[in-house]
Amino acid sequence: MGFLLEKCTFRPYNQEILDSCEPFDCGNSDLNGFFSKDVIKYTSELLGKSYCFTLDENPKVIVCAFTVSNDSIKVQTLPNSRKKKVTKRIPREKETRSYPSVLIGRLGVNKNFGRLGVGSDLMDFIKSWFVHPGNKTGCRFIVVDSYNTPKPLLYYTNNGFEPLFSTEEQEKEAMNLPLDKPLKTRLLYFDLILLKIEEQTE
Amino acid sequence: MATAIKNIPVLKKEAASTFNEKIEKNIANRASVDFSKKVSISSKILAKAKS
Ligand SMILES: CC(C)(COP(=O)(O)OP(=O)(O)OC[C@H]1O[C@@H](n2cnc3c(N)ncnc32)[C@H](O)[C@@H]1OP(=O)(O)O)[C@@H](O)C(=O)NCCC(=O)NCCS
Repeated sequence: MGFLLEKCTFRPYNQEILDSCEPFDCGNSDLNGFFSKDVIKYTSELLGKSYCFTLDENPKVIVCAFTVSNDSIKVQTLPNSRKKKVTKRIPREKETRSYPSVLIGRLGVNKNFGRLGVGSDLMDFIKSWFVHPGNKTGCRFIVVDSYNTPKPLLYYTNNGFEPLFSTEEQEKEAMNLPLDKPLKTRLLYFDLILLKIEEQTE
Repeated sequence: MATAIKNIPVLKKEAASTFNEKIEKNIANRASVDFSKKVSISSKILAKAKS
């Protein structure tokens, strides 16, 4: 994370960034479009907050950018067998457990800084940010909806993310998507409980 | 308009049990990855940040 600390500055991705920086290019037209057009509207509608790192020696250069929103992972389970006995005559109700999560809606690294470890450092920063003692709310998981192509999938799995669904078929079924069509994106998660920070007492 | 982000669907049946098994294991391995240094670098990044 040395490069992000020593050579870059962390900033909200706002109108000032759009007005003063060169257009952000991470090599993905969808993401570039978002960071050049939709980002301000997205922020103003409170759908997500976007941030970036600019290069200190030329602050017109956006090195990397990302968008985060509050979300949750909900898991439906049947009551356990002991509880089942107690509530024998009551129809078994499904329980849903909800885990607070943060969704990385968009993330990209300037293609001129690709394959230098910036993406992994950015992910370490995001993880640290959400386990940081200054974080105001509890957050168990980081979730991302990654493009279903080798490069981003490798990027996320190399950074400790796991698919939320074991197979593409399972994910299509859960999303009510046709089974014969390709899956464009895959949901992946990272469990922040694995991280140890000094302030932790346990 | 950029591609819409998928909603996270409720995990059910097999997906729910696989997920529960994995996160139980993670609870057993809680705080197994030392992130203290990274959190301290993040604090410095945040201290240097512009708002
Ligand atoms: C995916 C992306 C974020 C990676 O950023 P990066 O700074 O190049 O990543 P890093 O240098 O930290 O590499 C981390 C890992 O990502 C994977 N990766 C990165 N570039 C890759 C490439 N061209 N081919 C295959 N794997 C690649 C590798 O697993 C790599 O680990 P390794 O170097 O130990 O093999 C960046 O390429 C990007 O912005 N792409 C376009 C947008 C996108 O796909 N965003 C993510 C999906 S929402």
